[in-house]
Amino acid sequence: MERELADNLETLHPDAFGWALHCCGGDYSRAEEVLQNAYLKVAQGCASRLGSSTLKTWWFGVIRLTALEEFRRQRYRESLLGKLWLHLSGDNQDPRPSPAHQAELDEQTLQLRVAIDQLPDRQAEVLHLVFYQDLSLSEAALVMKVSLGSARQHYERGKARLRSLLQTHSDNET
Amino acid sequence: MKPDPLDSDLRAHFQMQRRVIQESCPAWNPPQVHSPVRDKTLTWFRYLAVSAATVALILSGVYLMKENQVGQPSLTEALPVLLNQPAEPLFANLETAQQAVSSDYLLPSRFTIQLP
Repeated sequence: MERELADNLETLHPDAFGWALHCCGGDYSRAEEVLQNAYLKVAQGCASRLGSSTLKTWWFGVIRLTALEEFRRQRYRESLLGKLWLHLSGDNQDPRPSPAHQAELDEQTLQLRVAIDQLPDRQAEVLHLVFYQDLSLSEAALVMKVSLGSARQHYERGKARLRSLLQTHSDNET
Repeated sequence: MKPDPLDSDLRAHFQMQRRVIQESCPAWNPPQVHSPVRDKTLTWFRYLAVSAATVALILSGVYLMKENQVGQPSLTEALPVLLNQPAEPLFANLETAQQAVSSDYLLPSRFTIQLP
């Protein structure tokens, strides 16, 4: 990996982990694995940057793709054949996050996580990219590989739905 | 295009989540950052070597096939000789037979035809 690229990725590392965590549905161990695999892709030259995108949108796109690949692998592991293979090979790891990691999320972020989990994937993605990562809608559309109009639609619907979910949650508490 | 600033409530939720996640973010230590990048010329050299070996294999195969064809007799040579070709031309002895001395003198004289 080039020194300059490595420095830039180091700057983006905390946000990249947040994005990987979102792509893995809040699973810390999977998010770490996805991020490591994405770094490996870049280090081995498997992911090359296109000219039109910024470093952040390109890097987030790589992480998103890696998370999707990891999700497919996970689904295979959870299938009957995968379980049989794991049983035969003896490589049986628990994919659930550790209790220490789980405890790090305070109540408010947990509430947000629960609400986001109830949103459709696209809506959750665009809200995370805009509010968490401070990307513009057009940048979010680039990362998600959808048109700007589609991203805007997901954004508006997602906001409305998230607000109602958070409101319902706080009403239940009171 | 930035989203409208009225979404500060949602933004506050996400920024809180961001702070919590960044505190528990794993340290930056990717395994291969400092390792040298795989040399692409080496990859090209590998492709070149493999393609050269393939071409050499094909050429040697073609050469061996031709070599086998040269060593084998042709079809006309391989077929057995069924009839011996006569050394003399066909019916060549007819002419000599006409010139040959008649054997009529061996017969008794009464059988001998005297032509006028």
